[in-house]
Amino acid sequence: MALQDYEKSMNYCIRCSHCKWIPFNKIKTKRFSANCPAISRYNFHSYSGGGRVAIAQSLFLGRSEMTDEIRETIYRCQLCGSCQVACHLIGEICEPLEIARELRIKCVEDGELLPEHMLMIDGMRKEDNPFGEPKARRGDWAEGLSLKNINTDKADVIFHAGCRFSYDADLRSIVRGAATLLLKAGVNVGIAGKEEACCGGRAFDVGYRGQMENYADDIISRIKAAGATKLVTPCADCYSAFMQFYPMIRKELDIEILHTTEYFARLIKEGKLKPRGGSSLRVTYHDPCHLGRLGEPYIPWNGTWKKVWGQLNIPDPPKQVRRGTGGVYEPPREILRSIPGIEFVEMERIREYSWCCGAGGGVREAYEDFSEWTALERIAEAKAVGADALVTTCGWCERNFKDALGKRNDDFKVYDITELLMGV
Amino acid sequence: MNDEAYKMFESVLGPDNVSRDPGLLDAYTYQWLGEMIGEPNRFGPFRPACVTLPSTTEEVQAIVRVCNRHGLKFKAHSTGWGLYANPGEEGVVMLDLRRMNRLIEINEKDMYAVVEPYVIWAQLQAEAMCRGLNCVTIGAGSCTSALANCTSLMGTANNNVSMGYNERNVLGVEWVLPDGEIVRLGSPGSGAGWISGDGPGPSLRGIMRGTFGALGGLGVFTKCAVRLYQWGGPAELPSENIVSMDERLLEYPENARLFVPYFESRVMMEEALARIGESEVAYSTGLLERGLLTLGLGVDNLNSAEMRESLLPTIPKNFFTCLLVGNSARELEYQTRVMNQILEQTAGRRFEMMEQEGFRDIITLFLVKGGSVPAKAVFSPTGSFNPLLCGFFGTRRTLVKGMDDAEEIKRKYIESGLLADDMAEGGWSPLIMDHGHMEYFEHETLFDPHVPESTLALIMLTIETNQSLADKKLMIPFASQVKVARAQGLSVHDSIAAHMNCDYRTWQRQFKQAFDPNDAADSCNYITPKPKA
Amino acid sequence: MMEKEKAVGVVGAEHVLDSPEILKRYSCDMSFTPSRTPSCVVRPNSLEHVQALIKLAAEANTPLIPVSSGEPRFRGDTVPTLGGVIVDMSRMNKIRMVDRKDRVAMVEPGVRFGELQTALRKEGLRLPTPLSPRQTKSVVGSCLEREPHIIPKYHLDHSEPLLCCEVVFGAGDVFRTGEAGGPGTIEEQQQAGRRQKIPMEIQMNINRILQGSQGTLGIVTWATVRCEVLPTVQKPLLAASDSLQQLLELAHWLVRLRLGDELFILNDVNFAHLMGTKLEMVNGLKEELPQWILLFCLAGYEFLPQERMSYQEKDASEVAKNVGVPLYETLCTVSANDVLARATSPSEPYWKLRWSGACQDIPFISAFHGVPELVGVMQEEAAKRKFPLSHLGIYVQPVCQGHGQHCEFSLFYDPTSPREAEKVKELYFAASKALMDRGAFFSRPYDLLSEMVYNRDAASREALRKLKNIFDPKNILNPGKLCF
Repeated sequence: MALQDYEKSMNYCIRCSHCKWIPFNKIKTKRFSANCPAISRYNFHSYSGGGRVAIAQSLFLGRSEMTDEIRETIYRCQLCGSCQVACHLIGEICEPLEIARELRIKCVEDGELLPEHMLMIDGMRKEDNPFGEPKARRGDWAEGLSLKNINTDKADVIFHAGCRFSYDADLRSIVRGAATLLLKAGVNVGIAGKEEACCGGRAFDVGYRGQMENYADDIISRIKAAGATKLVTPCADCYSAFMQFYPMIRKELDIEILHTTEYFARLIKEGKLKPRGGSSLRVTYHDPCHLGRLGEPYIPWNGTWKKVWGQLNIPDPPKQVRRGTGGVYEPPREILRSIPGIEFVEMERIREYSWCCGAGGGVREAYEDFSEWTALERIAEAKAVGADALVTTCGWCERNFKDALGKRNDDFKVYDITELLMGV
Repeated sequence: MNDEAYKMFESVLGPDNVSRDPGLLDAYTYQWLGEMIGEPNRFGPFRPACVTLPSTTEEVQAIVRVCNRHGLKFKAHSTGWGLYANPGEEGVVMLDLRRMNRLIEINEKDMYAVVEPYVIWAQLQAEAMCRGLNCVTIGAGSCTSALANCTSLMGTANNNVSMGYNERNVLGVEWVLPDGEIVRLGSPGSGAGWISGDGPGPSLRGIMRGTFGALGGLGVFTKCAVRLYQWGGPAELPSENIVSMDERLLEYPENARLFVPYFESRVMMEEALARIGESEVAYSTGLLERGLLTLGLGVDNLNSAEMRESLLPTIPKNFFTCLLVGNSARELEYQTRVMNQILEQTAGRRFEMMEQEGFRDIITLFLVKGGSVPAKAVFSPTGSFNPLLCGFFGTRRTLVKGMDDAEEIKRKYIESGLLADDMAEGGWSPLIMDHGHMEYFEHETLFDPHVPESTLALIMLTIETNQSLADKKLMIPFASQVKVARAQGLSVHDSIAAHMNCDYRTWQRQFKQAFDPNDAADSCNYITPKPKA
Repeated sequence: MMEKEKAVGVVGAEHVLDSPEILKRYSCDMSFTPSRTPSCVVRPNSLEHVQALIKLAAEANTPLIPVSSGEPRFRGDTVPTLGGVIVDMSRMNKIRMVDRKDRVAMVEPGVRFGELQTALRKEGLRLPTPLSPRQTKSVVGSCLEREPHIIPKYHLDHSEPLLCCEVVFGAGDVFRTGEAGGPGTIEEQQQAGRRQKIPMEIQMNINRILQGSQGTLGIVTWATVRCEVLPTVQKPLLAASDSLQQLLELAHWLVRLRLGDELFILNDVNFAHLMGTKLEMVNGLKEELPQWILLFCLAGYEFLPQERMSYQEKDASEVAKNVGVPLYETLCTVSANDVLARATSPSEPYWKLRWSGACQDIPFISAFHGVPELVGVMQEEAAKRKFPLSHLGIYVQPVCQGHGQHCEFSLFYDPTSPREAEKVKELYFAASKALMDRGAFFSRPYDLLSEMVYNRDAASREALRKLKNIFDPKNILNPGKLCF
């Protein structure tokens, strides 16, 4: 795909600004009514979903050329997809999220790169992870857990830890905990260990499509070899890459893909997993973009738009309208409700219209202040509903929240849902 | 643009809040209906010279003064939706008022909210409803600026029937005039709070707006008090799902009741509406003609196409929706009985399918909140629309004439295949305002902005309809006319004044001259200080 | 100065009056505005007359002072500041149209409330009316003054009930406001079914500019007014309390919930003056009444009127109970029915003059929470000048559907006592200033208060001067009033 593939789409933004707000009927207070971190922070219309469509079309038509300011605009965006959810409440042809991503691909093709992203890509190229950490240490997190090695053994379930969980020492207890819970539930689970590679989602998000294609091929061959029936990951980013990006670039993983929360919820229902619970806690849940709206399975489409009833535009064949409604929302909530001692309270922006943590789209790497600001907005929302702690299910979200809080010496608690399952 | 002026903007606002990057400016050029006056794409013909992001009245004033000093034109917008928001010529400095987004006060006893330009209706409504109040969220939807609507644009909404048109729903106003002077209309000018916008003496609200506002042609409005009204429903209307037809109320409000009556003829429908008006029982009323409803409300366009095919034939032609909201169970009971009596008198029947769960929920949300339904209905099918009769205010003997006229003329354009085929039944409107003292109708016309012939058909249809209305001595709908006039390169007021019994342009033009001596405010949707050659 | 002969040429000799007795009647009113004798009084009877007079006045640089209402006049707005010619509109007294279907009437400036109400009643309509206006009060004049009426739910805006009008500006041009401006002539519009109900022009609203201008911008030759359905049943009720706050709270909820039509609050003095039929009764009421009295009237219209009354009464009773105020049908021998009848009818003699001979009003607009404080300010100022509270009438009228309160203090006094008059005059100025300082908004400042008010809002003053220059560039219409 390239911008020219969105030629029609770029003409159908109606400049209504739905892309700046959560669905209107869901607004509870003015304070937490915005949905897009970029426009909320930088204010020029060009920072909104619609504005990005306009920029894309302007570049496409040759009305303007790439400038530093436009490049900044393009990259100051987490690609969280909330704009598209809102946009698709009133239309379906315009796809602001896809167009925003295409702009980055164009940047990369044109050599309009950010040094911070180049560093990240460099790390991937060398060590198969965005941090440039040694590939050889990727499986260290699983030491002593007696997990199967899918490179040599057969397992029903491949546990894909993802880069963040593999290398972030602060989060190690979470990933180990998740694996332990699976083992306790009697799941035949294996990992690729040091052979596990990045999913490539982060590379795709910053415009390096080719980089992700390589990783997709790698994972596809590994799955085939393992003969597993399920791919389970605790990382929402990886989950989104598998569910959304791979089909987008026409790479299909022929396996059931589950986020750990989905699998845990299933195991709890089946009675194979019993939440332990801990002290009583009032918690709220942050829907990670990549598990929620960006975790919605992507259905490829190679069709055309045709006219019926005069000028009514309809896709031929039918085309999925991506509104995030197929994301993973209930399982984490079911888990929270099942844990003794947990009082679960919703924030104002949830599910498809959840506010982003700020870590995605290469923003954490290139625009730390923006990333942090975005996280603090979410923390403020969690505090506003009277929660003692914010619970999430994504290592990237958790890292970003913790960093933002740490910088302010704020001891507001952030947990992964796995930690609660294990009894905090 | 002028470097010196640009540097002054930077020094006033900080460099992060001003830009003249061509690509960024194109985001301010791209606009709904750009296709009507420019190339067959969304870019209007004029790119702004720069965009500024003021955050205070003083900053707005400073920008305006710099513009006056340097001979620059300026134009402000709030949420900035629609052709009105775009520059009317080259070299215009844009003021994007997005950073002025404070909800300054909600006064529960005097029932108003003081807002800055970037507070949208949905925000104001959410804050009002939890206090037992509500506002007139307009038909364009919840995403629009409350202030801009009240000071500068229009104000038609489903709940006009009980809360009136937004021309009258503004109290005190703070206004940066085109020459940079600040005037505060009414009580705030005297330091007496926001309770009134009229006086002392003659009300300057009279130059601020009429049926429509000056659409950016007469300065910048920076604060205003918006009237709120009693809301007898729950503090929130929680729903599940986010997509129009799928959205369901978790609980239907116990003191609300939806009526969807239909009638043998428009005349009988209007008669029922008038009686509903006089009996003062309706909270919100809405016409959503079956062509528009089926084409617009599907979960997606494929679903809409199916609804157009199979659902439309089951929908009666002359129906409207009417929501009753009682402040007590007794009141709701009374309202219900009156409605039944009126329907009996006017041979109205209940369209039960729409009163049942499903349609009932989305229509109730539509009638109370607006939400995304209006925009969904008119934009999703073809990517663009423009209303016929936008600004057609009627009374008892004229509403039906306007409706019939629009339908008849539109039908032949529908047959050409260049517009969405709504069977020439694409009306949306509150129908009655102020308990029947005014009536209002507009006829949404859906065209494809990417198909030049479709856009042209819309323009020709609008011209023909407006001419027909003028010939019948009915009101010429300004908001329809201004766009086609601009498409033709004409002055809108020249095209209307010829039909009037006195030349109102004389006075409007003198306002422009008196309050904008340097012709700094972009007047493309207002009036130029001198007649065009 | 305009030559009398020329005026005679326009309206005929019998309608140009300059006898000293007549001129004296127009040279002053009940206010403290200094008197000044006009050169003559002309009585036009048509649009053409008014146009011609304005043209003559412009040529001769002669001030014209339009007057619609009959005596007694109160505000000083029709007292010539610089001399000139009075344009008495009372001959233009036709009710041009009453339309039941569109609930509208078209009236000329000489039409008074009583006449119009009678005509409307025949059609099943009524016009919301200010609190018992004097019999000579012009409907159009009242509309142009933005005088509030007593049915807050129908007081949609401060511009109510004015819809469209025909006006001749000081510049000489004829203009028809709102939809009356076209397309088509008025006759063509009416043939097409239009009834001149939409009050706004496209991008301006000249009505709003004319209202509050006190005849300084143009002379109106007819206006349409918004009418309402005549109730088929009514039930007025009274509430009384020594706490103004309590009655304000009651009023707030009744208006907000649209319970009842007519609704206003009077203090004991005003109530006694309005309702007293004999001096003893007035004094007796003042002694017996609680300090504050609220009247509201339940009504039923064409549809299920009794049922409407019934639910409204129950809901209103609940509100009253919550506020802690009992409701009465009769209070101190005065029945609510009588209060309603008095409040909605023109009074002759005017109730504000009947018991004291003179009255100086101080009208302003306040926010809800400001009212008790401003009443306190007024009472303090009165006490400072030893003005008896028993002569201080207070009227609180929720306006604009509950979006604000019109307050009106009435200083009743004996005009034959120069000392008393002087004291009231001092109090009038001092209290007005004190009230403004504490947040009272004088939205329609009359004559002597104009300077004080406009000095507080220089920006509006400058803007208004621009308007004056547009509509009356030669400053011939009522010069010296307002801020020009």
